Amino acid sequence: MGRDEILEKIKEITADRLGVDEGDVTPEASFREDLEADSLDLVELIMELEEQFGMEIPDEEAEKITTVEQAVDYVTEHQAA
Amino acid sequence: MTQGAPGDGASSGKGFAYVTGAGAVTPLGTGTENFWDAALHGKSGIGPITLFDSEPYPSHIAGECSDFDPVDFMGKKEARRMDRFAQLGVSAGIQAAEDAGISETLQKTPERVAIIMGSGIGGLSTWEREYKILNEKGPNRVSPFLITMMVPNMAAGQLAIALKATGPTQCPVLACATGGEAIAEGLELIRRGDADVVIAGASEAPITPLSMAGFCAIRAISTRNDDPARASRPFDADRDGFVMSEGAGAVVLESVEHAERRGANPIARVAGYGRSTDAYHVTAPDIEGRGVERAMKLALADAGLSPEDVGHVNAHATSTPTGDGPETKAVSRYLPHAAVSATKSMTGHLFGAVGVTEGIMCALALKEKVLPPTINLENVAEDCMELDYVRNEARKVPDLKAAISNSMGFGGHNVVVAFSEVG
Repeated sequence: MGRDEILEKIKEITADRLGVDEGDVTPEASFREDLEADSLDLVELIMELEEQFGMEIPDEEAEKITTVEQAVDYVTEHQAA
Repeated sequence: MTQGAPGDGASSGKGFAYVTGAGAVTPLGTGTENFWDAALHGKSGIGPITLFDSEPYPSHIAGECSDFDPVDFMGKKEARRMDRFAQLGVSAGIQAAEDAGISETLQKTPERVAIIMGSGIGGLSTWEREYKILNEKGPNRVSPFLITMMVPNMAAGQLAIALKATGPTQCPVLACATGGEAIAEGLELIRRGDADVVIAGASEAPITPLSMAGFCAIRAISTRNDDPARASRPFDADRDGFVMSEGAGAVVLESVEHAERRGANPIARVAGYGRSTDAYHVTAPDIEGRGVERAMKLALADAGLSPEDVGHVNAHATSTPTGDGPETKAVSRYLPHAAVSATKSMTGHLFGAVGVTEGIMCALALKEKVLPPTINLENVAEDCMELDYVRNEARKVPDLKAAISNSMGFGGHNVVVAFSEVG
């Protein structure tokens, strides 16, 4: 899956899970500050990324994902070949 | 105000609270007006189950809140973070607060606003979904929202967040007597001075595969699948069980001083309550109805009412073969003159929530002097006493002064709440 496609899919998942407009889910957006996610929201969001992209994201890696772009980076680098 | 006059809870009982607002989400409609209007027209809220595939079950009917959309009351994200039972309870609570017009109180003295929102079961559908995920995908896929969606106190917690009410919260869990308990405890909070305003309610969302299987196993559910509107028929010779329903109700209870100070427009009074336990059997009530009779007596004593003051009983009567008879015996001994309605004939059985939705009907009956009917009552069953049943059509009662709402729960819990007119 290409990077643009991954971004689109993450936008969609994020908007759905956090109840925000897809337009607000820009690459720079911070999940906590801009999209008002709390700690439980983030756990659920990471689980949804794991589910949708068929991967495991270890907790220590998940903690480093704070923006939409970082999520896209992580998924792009770790997606199954 | 005449000292010690019948029905005067202030002078002869232990003190009353005003009901200044009400909210409901029921199979008869969302919103108190829709609910009440449907009840006065003798409508049935029962239909085929759509919330899950009931094909393998002996019963395929229930009372679903089909016009309910949580997004009418909360954001999409909030709705997704709540089990259906909490969505229902929060929505009823928000309606009640709006109906009472307590936004200024919530802004100025939120610590004086208490919330009591009970549930018999809690977030069962969430529990079932996540347990399936646990079995199919393992523990790492279980939702971080399982716990906060499942626990039965979360309708109370979420309603407090929605309204920013910071007084005490409670969550009674007393099976089908939960709602009565919520109103009784609400009155007690006011009497004790713990709060000026209490939003007292209860909610239930039991239409799930597991719960339906459990209630079918008890053989307590009607299987009149071909005629859902006539399935719930309390006191009737052909009754074959209750109909499971979902929903929520909430009332705003307010101290007399607070209500008068802000110029509130009360619907009725909660004048008192009585409670007892059968200590007899987990599902069957005492065969003579002695437990509920004692609760009725305690309620009237607490309210400072005499039996003659009580013109109406909203009976617990669920339409089960074992349940309805004992209550009719108790009413025939203690309140033989009262007009009796079993509104579960229309709503089905909202379990924990039903004591509140039926309490709302008592309050509105006192305000509008009209009683909702018992539908589907064609032939009074042999095991039920001949009482003054309000059969099939609403009845005008210009002289109604007081009414009681009976609730009896699995476990042998009896809670009776006495309402009286504003006066």
